[in-house]
Amino acid sequence: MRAELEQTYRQHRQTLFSLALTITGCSGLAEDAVHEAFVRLCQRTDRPAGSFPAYVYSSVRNAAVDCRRRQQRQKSVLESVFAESGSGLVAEAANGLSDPAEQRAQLASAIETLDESARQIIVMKIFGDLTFDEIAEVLETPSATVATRYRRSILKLEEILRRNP
Amino acid sequence: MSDLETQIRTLKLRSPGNGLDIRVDAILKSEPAIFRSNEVIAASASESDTVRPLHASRRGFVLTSSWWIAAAAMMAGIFIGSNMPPSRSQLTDNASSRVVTPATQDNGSVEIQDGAHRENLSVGSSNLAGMTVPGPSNRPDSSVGSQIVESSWLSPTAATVVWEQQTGQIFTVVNHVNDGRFNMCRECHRVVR
Repeated sequence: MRAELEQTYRQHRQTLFSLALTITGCSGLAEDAVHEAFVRLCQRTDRPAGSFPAYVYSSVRNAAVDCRRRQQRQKSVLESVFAESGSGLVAEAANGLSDPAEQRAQLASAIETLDESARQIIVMKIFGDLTFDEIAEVLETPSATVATRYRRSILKLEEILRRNP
Repeated sequence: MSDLETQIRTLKLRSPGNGLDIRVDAILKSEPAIFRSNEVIAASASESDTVRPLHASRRGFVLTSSWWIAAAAMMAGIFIGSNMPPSRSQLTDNASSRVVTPATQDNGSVEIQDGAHRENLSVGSSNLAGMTVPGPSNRPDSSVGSQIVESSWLSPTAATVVWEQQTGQIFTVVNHVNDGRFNMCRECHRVVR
């Protein structure tokens, strides 16, 4: 159980942190959420049934929700999940840096406009390589609903990028 | 996977600080007992404080057994008591029914009627109203010719008269043995048939 937890952390640490950041909107809170989730996971002695990564993601998500509830969104400006978005990247693009960087910034900003649930699904699907079933397990939502939300989010992103070439 | 998904994958996620790695590593390499949170401790405490059902405990079993034993003993007592022959209460009734009537016979004896028994006592005719004498059931020995009569059945005045008639003497306290139990002379209790 411990070895499996360690392996999952090494493999998914960034995505787990991003998932927590998507929910809390604060990197400090996101770190606290991941830490709290692993404390809870280490207290368990039996291995949960089903996908182990999905179980870890679910724990991190619940911890993040708890953290957010405690903080009650004290910060009005939420931190971005992506390293390339935000003021730093915008300043970089304004200084005449490469177009691909600008495109990535636009894409990151477009993702930030999506609702929280859609962002969670994108993080878990694309960066965490979880299946729709596993994501459904994490979100406690039917798998078909998760798949539908994901496709709608991709279509919405394409539309946003088409409007702002 | 579409082009857009591929582009999204090229985005770099923000990395957590080194502090998170240190904290998580510390958790993963430590003993599980150290990281027992307050919630777990509270939960285990509430579990230990939970009162077990009374019937499941030894004390409850003992209490239940005691109730059954007490109930069984009470029922046995009622059964035995109901089957016992009436003794004391009936005796009292018989004794109270044996009242010497004031009508005395010509020879000086008193007729006592007690159900199937009829007795003649050779006593004087005066001062016998309300005097009671024992029935044959509680006489120690009928062949003795005299017996001790309980104080509640013979008043001192009536006993004095009986004694004077039987002996032809005049009653004086000095002539008699004083019995403190009955607050009257022992000889006064003797009644000759």
